Amino acid sequence: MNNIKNVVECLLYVSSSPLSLKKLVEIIQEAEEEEILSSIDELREEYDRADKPVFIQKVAGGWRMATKNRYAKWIKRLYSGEMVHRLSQAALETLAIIAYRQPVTTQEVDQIRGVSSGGVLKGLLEKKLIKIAGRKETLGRPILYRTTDEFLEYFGLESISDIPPLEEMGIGNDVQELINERVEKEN
Amino acid sequence: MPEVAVRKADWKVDLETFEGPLDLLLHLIKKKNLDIYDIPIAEITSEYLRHVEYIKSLNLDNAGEFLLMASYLMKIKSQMLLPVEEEPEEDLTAQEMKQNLIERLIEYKKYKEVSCYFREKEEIFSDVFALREYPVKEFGESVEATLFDLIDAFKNLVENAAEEVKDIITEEISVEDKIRYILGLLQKKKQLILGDIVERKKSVMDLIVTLLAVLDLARSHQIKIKQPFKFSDIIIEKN
Repeated sequence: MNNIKNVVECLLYVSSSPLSLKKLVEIIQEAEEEEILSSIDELREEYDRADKPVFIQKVAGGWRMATKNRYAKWIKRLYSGEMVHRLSQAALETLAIIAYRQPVTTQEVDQIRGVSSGGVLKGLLEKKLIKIAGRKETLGRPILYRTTDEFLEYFGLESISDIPPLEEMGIGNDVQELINERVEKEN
Repeated sequence: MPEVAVRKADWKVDLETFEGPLDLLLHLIKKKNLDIYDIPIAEITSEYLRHVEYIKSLNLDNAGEFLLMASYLMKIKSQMLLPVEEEPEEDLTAQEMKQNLIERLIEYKKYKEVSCYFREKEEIFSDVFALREYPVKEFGESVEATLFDLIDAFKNLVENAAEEVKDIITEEISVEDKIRYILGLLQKKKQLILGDIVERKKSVMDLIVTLLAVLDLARSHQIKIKQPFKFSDIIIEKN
């Protein structure tokens, strides 16, 4: 007899993108939502507790299996040459603006940054961290951009509402501390 | 990216770290310990201009943006020297221009600061790996194509088929046949390029019937129509 927990574990193991509760409920017709949820909790505990190299990560509105930080060294060796480099400061700033102001046009991003962002946006599109979300119904119908699920995965965020409130920024010098505290709490 | 650093006497401009004129201004405000809510325009302008001289001499791509800010600062500075009562009404006053600049600086500062948060999260999660489906290279990012994109694409195809237009089409192609034909192709291939389905028979009638078939399939939600980027091929996918 297959128990639901094993089914969930298998699905998370093979899925190439985070699985949402809705999707899991759809696939596992043999179980109720609560049972699936408690299976996930059990799995999360098991993976956290035991000295396992992977964990159940809650990210981008779902769950997936991911490797723990301390094994990154060997994985990077496996994929040497294909590893993604860190984003540039310009890319990070642009992403931050899009994350808070989405959907947003190139002109709006340029206005905030004080520099032209066309090249940066193109790079972010190629990395799939942002996507085109239609056009703004103003003069010239400029393209609107949004962040993607890949953006959430890249930064390990559950949903876009997880990003720190912007009002806390720009007022004092203790922002770095604030951010450190927040990041620590989240992990 | 290579690191560009200019040294002169006791100070150094590390251009890598300045994302633009606003960033440079924030840096100067911090360095000189100035009040961001009441920037001393004269002081910041001369300091800013000193830095911009070097940026100019380096022929940077975005030197223009730095110069634009320089002229804005100088405009505020010179306006401040004018007698206040002579202010022309349609123009912003020096005080208003200064206030605009301060607001932009504060707004930009918020995003700059919050980018540290994203940097830290990136640091942590760049060491977390999970199974991923890598995007199909040829198609890249997709956008939902609008009806007008579709019509434009068809217009192009019709224009390309211009030479064949003179032939009188005797063969009757029904929309239903075309629908079946497209669905048949989709059984074999996950994605179809719109251009490919029509190219085999370059007759206007065939194009029109294909357009109607594609629209009908989209209407009944049997297919999805996408366009990866502007002016690119239109892609048809099974829903």
